[in-house]
Amino acid sequence: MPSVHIVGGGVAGFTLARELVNKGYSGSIKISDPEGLPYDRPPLSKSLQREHFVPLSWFEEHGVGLVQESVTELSVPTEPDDWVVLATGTTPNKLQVPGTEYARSLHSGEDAVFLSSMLEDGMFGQRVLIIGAGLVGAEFAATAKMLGAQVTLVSSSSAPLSKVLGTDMATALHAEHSRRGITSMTGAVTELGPTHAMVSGRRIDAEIIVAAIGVTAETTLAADMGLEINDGIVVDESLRTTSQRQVLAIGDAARMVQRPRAVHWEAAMEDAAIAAATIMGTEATAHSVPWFWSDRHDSHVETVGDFGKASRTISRLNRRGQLQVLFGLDESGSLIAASMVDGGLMSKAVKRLIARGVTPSIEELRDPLVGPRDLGRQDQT
Amino acid sequence: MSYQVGPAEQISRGDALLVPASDSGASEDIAIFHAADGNFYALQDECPHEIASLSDGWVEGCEVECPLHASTFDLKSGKVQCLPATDDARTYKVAVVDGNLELDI
Repeated sequence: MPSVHIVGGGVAGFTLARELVNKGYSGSIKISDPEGLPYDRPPLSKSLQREHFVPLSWFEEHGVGLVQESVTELSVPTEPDDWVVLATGTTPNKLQVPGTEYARSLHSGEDAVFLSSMLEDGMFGQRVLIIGAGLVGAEFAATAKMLGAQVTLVSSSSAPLSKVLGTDMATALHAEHSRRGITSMTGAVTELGPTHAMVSGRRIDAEIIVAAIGVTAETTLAADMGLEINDGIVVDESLRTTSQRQVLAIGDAARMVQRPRAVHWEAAMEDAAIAAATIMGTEATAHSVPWFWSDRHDSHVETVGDFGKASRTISRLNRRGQLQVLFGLDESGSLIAASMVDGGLMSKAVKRLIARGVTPSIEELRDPLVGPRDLGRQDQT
Repeated sequence: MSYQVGPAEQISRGDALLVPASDSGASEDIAIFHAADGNFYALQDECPHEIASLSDGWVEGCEVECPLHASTFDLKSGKVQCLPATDDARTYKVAVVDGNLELDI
């Protein structure tokens, strides 16, 4: 009987199982994950909650095997109908300083539940030190502040995330932390203790220390299987690993040949759809324009496209003169990216504009009275 | 029971209208969509995933994309097409009678 063994139950692994079920795959499907029932990761840093995609009964109902296990050894399938899919995700980076073990990460459901109980059961006003002001660090800082903690946020830059949000948006959003009562500082961490850190020569005391300094693709199992690794498990357009045709890799752990590794929730979900098409021999849809969101301090932040290639930016300000949307244009003047705060339908409009290769005029991009529907549908009217 | 929403022409194609429960007497807010096929469809307004209003979503073809986290729903069946939502949206019957929208609540 044909079979698919999925290693990892994050959004990529779970979505693949669901796609296969929805498409009527006739073989057996199994997900292995040491954390058991699959859950969605974005809510971890946004609300410190473990939100399961579906209840356990879904797996029984659709005959999908769910095994709570850590897979440390796996052989390459020998039958052409058998597939192994690596959806192993990422591992949080650790600070390379003495006492690094005193910093916790916020990466798993267990981390979120632990930090949630520390914050909710602990004394009001307990001190939280967060190292790293990227997506996870910024979201956790906002969440901890909301729960009544005294928060210090250490960043190595005054505009963290400028490569993904554009510099002006990154600067504006980072500045928001101080306005919300978070102690925001720029510096380098040189040492950690159980309840303190040394930051650029200054001692910061805190009951809770969290390091959020990025992630690395989890490739241990793939390496043991002899697969090609280069900043992720290297895969082709169909998500087959370059050396083993019956082994696929999807989500944050995978990297398509000659492309940067996509570490986004939506990209992981699209990977799952492509993998399902590869397994079932059907036509796959290509990846859409990258999009992700972040929630902090009551703001819904979104980015579409890739600011990495932008050579010029156009700002759209709201009536109070605050930056609302930052558009990124490439050297030829084409719209390739946008970041926004509480942008409503703007992300969807820009996504469609980029996909169709349409660039509205600079005046239209700047004008807050030109709504997203007008921008995104201009060629349909 | 049906609720008279008013002229159908108030919703242009690709747009949506929020019908608050307090107006219609229904048990929840309802969104009426004017789809690309020219027909009108109605779904529960609140996204089954998190608090967001589907009437603020992006209507394309016969689907609406939630403004917050981009789950899409089939306007005809209410079926959820992609994560993060996993539950379908409830559907309501809506008809155009003499140019006016009648919502079956």
